[in-house]
Amino acid sequence: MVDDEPDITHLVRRVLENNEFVVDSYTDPTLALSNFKPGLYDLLLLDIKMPKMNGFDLYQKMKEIESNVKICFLTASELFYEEYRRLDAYPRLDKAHFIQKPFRTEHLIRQLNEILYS
Amino acid sequence: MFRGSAEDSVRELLFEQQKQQQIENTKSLSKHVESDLDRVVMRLELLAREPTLQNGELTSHDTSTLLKQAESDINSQITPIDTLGLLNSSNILVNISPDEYRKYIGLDRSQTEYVQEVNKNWQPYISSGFVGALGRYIIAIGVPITNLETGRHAGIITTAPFTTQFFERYGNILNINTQFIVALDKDAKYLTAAPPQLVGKDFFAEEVQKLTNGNPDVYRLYENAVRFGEPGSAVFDTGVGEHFATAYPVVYGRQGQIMTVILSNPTAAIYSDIENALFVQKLQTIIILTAATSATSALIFFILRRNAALERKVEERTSELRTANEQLRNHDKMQKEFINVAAHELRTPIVPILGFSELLYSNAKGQQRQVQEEEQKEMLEIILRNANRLHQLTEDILDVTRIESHSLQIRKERFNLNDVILNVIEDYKKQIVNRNNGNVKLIYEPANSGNTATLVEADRRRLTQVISNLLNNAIKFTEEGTVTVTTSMIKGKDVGRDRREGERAAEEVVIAIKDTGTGIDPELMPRLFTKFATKSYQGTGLGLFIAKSIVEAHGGKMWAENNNKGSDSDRKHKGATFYFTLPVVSMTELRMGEEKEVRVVNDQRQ
Repeated sequence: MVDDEPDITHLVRRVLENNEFVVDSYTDPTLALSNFKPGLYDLLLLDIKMPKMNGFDLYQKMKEIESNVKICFLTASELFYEEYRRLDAYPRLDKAHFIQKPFRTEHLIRQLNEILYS
Repeated sequence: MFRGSAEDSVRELLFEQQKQQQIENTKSLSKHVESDLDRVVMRLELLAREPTLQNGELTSHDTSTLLKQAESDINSQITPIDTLGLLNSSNILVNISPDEYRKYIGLDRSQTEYVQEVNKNWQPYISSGFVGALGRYIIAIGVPITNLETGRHAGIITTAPFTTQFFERYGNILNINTQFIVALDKDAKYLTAAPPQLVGKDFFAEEVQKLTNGNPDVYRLYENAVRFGEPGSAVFDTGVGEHFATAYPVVYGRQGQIMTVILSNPTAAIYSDIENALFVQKLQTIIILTAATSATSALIFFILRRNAALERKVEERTSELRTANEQLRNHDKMQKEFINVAAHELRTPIVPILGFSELLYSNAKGQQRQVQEEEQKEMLEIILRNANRLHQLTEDILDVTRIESHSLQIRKERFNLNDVILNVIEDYKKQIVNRNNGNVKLIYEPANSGNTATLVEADRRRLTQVISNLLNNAIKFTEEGTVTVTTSMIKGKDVGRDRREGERAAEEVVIAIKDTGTGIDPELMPRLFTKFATKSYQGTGLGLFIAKSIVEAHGGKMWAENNNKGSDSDRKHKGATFYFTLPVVSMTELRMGEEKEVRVVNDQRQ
């Protein structure tokens, strides 16, 4: 998981660990990228608006390392549907790969599970 | 009755005036052309801002309807066009109006010159003339579709006015005989002319030059105007009778000169107008010669002048409207950006508040795996911290909206500035002990060592807010060292806004808050006092904007400097100083306990 807000990574980590996920969390996208290796993760959970690098670019770079890696984006902005439309470059992705902040924890878990097992 | 040299000199005078009028008319025509082209661009820009186009839905039913509407608007309100089309981001035609041209959908326009020009700068572009698909001479106008929020290039809107019909409209507007209007594009090709066979031909081509019998006056007039953008006029005879021609360039935005308009009147027409005017006079029998002539010529002159003045007014209004529209669009864009950032900032602290509350609640109900007591404390602390952050952000955003809608209320009372500063400093001294920077010293150096009161007339709460914000920043960015607050008196240059009768000219107090911290990043400097300039973990990014607005609402100013006047390497240790001024109440007028509620208009525009 990558999000520039430490309180959010803390929360998501706690919630996911309560639901039998194993989580590596980062607030620095460049650090996350440098530690990223293929086969390490079943799913990426990425914030979109981050000062150093935005979530899409990070995803793009990670895809270059592992092309089939599964993804879910976290977004707090008004541009929810706009950002989702930018995915015309990623035909296998759609609305289901976005979670809007703030979210209900059970909704987060459910959506992540759907992405993982679909 | 009006014979001899007097009549001739009247003729000369009137001829000169007619020529002058024609020059004015040509300039006016050029401005009208610029304005009408701009209107087409603006209508297309309006279309480009429609949500479906912004979303890149270029082929949807809604978009087609919008296209038809725009086509109809331009046709009926501005000028006849051949089609209105949409290109996608690969420059393929994906939609078009009217429907009978849908067979062209799928066409790749990326090799077309004006499409390439639009793509080059991603700005509206007006092309030179060429023969369109319908066989008629047109100019093409391309307007880019940019998504205002993501900056994505969604496509291009294209349209093409018919050139001869475009210029024909000016006959009525400017009372010009349209057969005397000539227009050339930047390549000197005729866009409209009489005879109409000239349209599309190059003025400088041999076959055209033959028509003018190589007349040097014509050549020079056209060349100066088309090649160098110089307005001009000339009288000449190319073998079809004497003409008086006036030329003026047409300019559009970044492209510079895109066309030249020329009015070419046979002088015979001018003379016959004059004869008519004189003939009217000849019917007068009683009036004295000179008085009558000057009265009539003065009258003609006056009417000609008034026409010109009206044209100028129209031109001014159009230009004013253009500027106002531009400003409005910019303002809209800034408001949208502010809302986007504000939404993001507000939603962010809500995530841990909701999330950890849910966790603790489940835990309390016994549903979840037990949360340890230590963890409970930590989670509650996070909830508390983010709730406070949300609270501060809410207040700041409300303040910003008050400021922007000019409804920031300032409740003024008279008090000693020193007292307020001391209070804030005392508060922070207590806080520093609890923070990481226990090494920071807080010093206050008031004017006159605090022996005299510095009386200001201000909103106590808001002033405290300003000082608190500046002190908070100073302490936040200083790991160790000193934060010094000083006040000093200066003579104000302007008279204070709320000056009452009997008070002396305003003095001002300058409050300076100096720190020895990391200083201000020079790249940040110009945006320092704007909304959401800095996004620090603890701050809202709005504090300085609000502080400056409050100070300015009091008639003061705020600014900041780095303390190093030299090299960048020093900046990190020398820190920065923030200054603001307030008008001071003269010491001789000590009337305590007065309150005044003032609604202040904030002129600060971002």
